Amino acid sequence: MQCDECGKPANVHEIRVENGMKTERHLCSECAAQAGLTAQEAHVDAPTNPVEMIKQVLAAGPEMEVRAAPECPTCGSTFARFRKMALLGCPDCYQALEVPLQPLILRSQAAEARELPEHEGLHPSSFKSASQPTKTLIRLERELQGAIHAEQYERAADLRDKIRKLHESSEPSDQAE
Amino acid sequence: MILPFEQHEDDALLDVVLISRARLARNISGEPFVNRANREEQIRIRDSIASALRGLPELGLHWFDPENAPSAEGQVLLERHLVSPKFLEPGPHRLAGYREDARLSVMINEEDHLRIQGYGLAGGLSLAWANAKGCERLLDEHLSFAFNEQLGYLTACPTNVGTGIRLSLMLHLPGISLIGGMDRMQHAADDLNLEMRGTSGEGSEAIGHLHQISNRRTLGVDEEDLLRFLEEDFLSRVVREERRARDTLLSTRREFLDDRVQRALAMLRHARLLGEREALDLLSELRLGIAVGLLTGVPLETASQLMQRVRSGHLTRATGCTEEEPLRIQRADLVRRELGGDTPPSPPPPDSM
Repeated sequence: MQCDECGKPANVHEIRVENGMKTERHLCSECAAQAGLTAQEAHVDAPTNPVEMIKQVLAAGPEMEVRAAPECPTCGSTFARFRKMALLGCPDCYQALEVPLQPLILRSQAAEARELPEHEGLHPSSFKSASQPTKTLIRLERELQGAIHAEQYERAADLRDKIRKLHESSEPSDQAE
Repeated sequence: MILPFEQHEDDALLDVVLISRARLARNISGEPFVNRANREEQIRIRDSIASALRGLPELGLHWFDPENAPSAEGQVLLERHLVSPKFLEPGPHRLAGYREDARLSVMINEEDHLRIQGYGLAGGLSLAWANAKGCERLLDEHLSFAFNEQLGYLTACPTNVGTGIRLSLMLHLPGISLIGGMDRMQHAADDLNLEMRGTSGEGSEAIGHLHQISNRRTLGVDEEDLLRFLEEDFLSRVVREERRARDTLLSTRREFLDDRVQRALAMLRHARLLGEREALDLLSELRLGIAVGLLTGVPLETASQLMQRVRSGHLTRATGCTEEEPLRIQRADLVRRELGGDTPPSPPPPDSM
């Protein structure tokens, strides 16, 4: 996520809820300091366990200044509760607490990535998404180009196979298993 | 009753891998997570999952209700990794199911509504995954799991979101330990985004040179890719390194190694009292001695099995003892019996106690 002011990586996130209206600001440390929002560096030992990592980040809580925490409309859980327990209250919390949660998920799941990767793998058999194959294809094509560019030919071959498989499975055919 | 721990001598990775496990976390859509659910909701969740599972007799599950079962039974399931320490803590309306051959278990109302665990033995991560996936796909027909397109399966802790999968391997790494390579191993695991822990999971200590290794990432990597990475890239490297370390010890410090192994065997054959930790540490040395060929009279499987059977829960179930001191006596008796140790003189008559 980039700073709203200068485009550098944002690490201070402000969420305000006033009269039922939510506004968000994402700033880098310098712009946040100028705007009068305090942000300190996190001085925590790098934990290896993801749960511990989340707990430590939550306990230190410096990167994120949440002025008025959002609340999950389904179960009433707040980010403060998550901070305390490292557990969410219900599936809807992922959406309701998305803004403060997302950087944490990114850090614990894919520290090297800039944005949250999209789920890959099993899905409920009842789940049908028209956009899923197309989106996956676009992403795989992008990764393939990257792999070729980086001369990672083994990975490129894997990706090409995946793309081919996806093309085959998305073709309307009664032969598909 | 769970069948005895079984390994087959033809398992190629038997000298290093003890257990392979694949765990899947799932939650029922439209229900609060366990930590937020009230009593009625917890019961409703438990009953709906249990009823779906009971409708699948092909899974061959036996049930364990922690509230209404002797604690030794829970301890046995814990020592076999079929339930987690958290599952046995007093808490919401929990229920576990397990197969007698310990190839599959389910935990209801642990951290998530449902945890499915598949098991394989040495190098059996693919089998473990197949067992867990098979159960999950059957349940998928009957239950609606919380899922969204971007984040995948939604779990109570965001560290599991996505596939909800945790693939783990229980590895016996005395060679790497003895040549002082564990720190390097820990760094390598960190670099590969893998978690390394002691014997009983999170935060626990490595007893008997047993280490549990599992994936951290669950979002954006599909299960099969993860499996391939762990099996083909990671596991084969660790096994190679462990064997190399054992060979190095054998060729450069043979007496040192042989001394450790023979001392361990002597202690195990003659001790009259054995604590759990001590027994596991000695059996680990014994297992190493057998694996490198310094000990020939004892099959590797006997050492591996004993590493389960000397655990307190297993021993309590086998002997009925619950007190610490009698358990230590029973443990020493069991080990002496299995390893051809001496017979102690008959105990004094009870009135002299």
